[in-house]
Amino acid sequence: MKDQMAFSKDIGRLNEIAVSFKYQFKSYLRTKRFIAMAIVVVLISAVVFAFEVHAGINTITAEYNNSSNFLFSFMQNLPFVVVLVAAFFGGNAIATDFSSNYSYYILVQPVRRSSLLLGRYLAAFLASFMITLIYYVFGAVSSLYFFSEISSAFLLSIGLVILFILSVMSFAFFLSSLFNNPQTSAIAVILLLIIVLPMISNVLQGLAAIEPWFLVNYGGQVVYTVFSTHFVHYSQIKAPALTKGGSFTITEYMPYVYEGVEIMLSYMIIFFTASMLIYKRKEVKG
Amino acid sequence: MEIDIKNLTKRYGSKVVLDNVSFKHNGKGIIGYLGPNGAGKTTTFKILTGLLRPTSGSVYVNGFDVTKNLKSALLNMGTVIESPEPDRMQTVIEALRMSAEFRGLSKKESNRQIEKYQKLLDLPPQNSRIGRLSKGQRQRVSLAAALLSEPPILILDEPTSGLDPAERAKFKKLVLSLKKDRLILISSHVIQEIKEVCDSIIFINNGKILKEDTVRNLQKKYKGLEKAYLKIVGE
Repeated sequence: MKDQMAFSKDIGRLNEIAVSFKYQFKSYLRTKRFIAMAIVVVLISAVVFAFEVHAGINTITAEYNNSSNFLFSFMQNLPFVVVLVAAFFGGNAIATDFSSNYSYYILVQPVRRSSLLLGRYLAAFLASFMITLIYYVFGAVSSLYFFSEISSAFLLSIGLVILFILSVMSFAFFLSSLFNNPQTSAIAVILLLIIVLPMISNVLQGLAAIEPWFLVNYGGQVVYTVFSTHFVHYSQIKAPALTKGGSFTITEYMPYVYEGVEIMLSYMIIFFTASMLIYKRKEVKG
Repeated sequence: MEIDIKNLTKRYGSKVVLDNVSFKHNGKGIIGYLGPNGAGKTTTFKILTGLLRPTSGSVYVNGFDVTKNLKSALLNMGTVIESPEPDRMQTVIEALRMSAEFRGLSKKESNRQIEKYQKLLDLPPQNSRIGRLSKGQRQRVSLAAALLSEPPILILDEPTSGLDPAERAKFKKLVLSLKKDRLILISSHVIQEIKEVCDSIIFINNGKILKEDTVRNLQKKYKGLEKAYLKIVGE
């Protein structure tokens, strides 16, 4: 016998996602890590800007010639910023539910877990994007200061960084779904994204001359390579070896934009789907 | 109002936590789920609310199969399991509003209900941060969240743990008023608590249902609930 409920009614999937997003985002804005990340990004951006200003307008304009070349250089720290911020917001996103009594509050609400997760994912994305935009603001101000113009690739780069944040966030959510302890999860995500993957990428490219087309940090380089006016997909330089008279070759790849987009889209879809499947099936034991 | 559990079994590897548990209750009233720690009470409640999946068997809440239509089942019930903790960064009002919004309450209904339970449960100030509340205060906020939509079924797992004697007395009064138009399943290992509020009792130990009867019959047959507990559960 199905009873009529006093007030309760199904609010539909979109509203579920919206409610989840709204409260999660508010919560993110209040966390110490949001404020800390914003400060870190302001500091990184300000330090880079300060170095450029210290070098002087004449030196900078002579070295880079135009806004695109300047932003190509300025934005090279951006993938690190994105990975750092996304790892901080996504690193414990799922593990938190299963390590604390929060699950007894949130997972007994009449809402699909997929909606909860999607709302949380979008909230984590928006929080990360807001912080990442700080770097873009500094980039734009610097470009206007030195060249009185902003490269036409600027908006494309912002579009690509949205995709990069979403893909890194998916990967972080997936890793978080594998752990039950949020601290372990966050540390694992940060170590993997900031140290292990870049190391693998450098070794594969530099020493084995293999293009790391399967690594998201490689694909994410398109956020600054779009500014390049002398784009080279593949380059090699000879470096002197430690042994007398010897030398070795270092290979470097730069992803094509379409290639970067493919890598980031793949990460976004595959790892978000995987984290969704795990989150939906995960039990609250203990 | 109906809870229907059929041949429910939960295993972790070779360990059987619930062994072919079955019971069915409909109509108003309070059912006590009584057993020692580790008897299987919380596991049953976790399966009822979708926090765990059964190894076999079925669970229906108001006709909704929790394994197939969990959302509808959850819309029909309010739950307090273990010691729920809303998001520590939220304020009391946000935690309650979120719950009300998930349950489809309009803003007007939500405000009215929050005000009602603010008084009834003596909730902490609405702008207090959850992370700064005591365990008892968080427990009351969670109970308020469970009650906001006036669901016909309540699942309360040791709801007085963490409450002081005065809060327990208030809780008892509230539960007795709620049972007039609800089916409440309440677990505890405190016999006194069960005796004071329940209409009937299900005894569980080692994952098995041992006995089910009304409080009146049990008192009469065993000359007191404590004796009934010792005789049936044997601990």
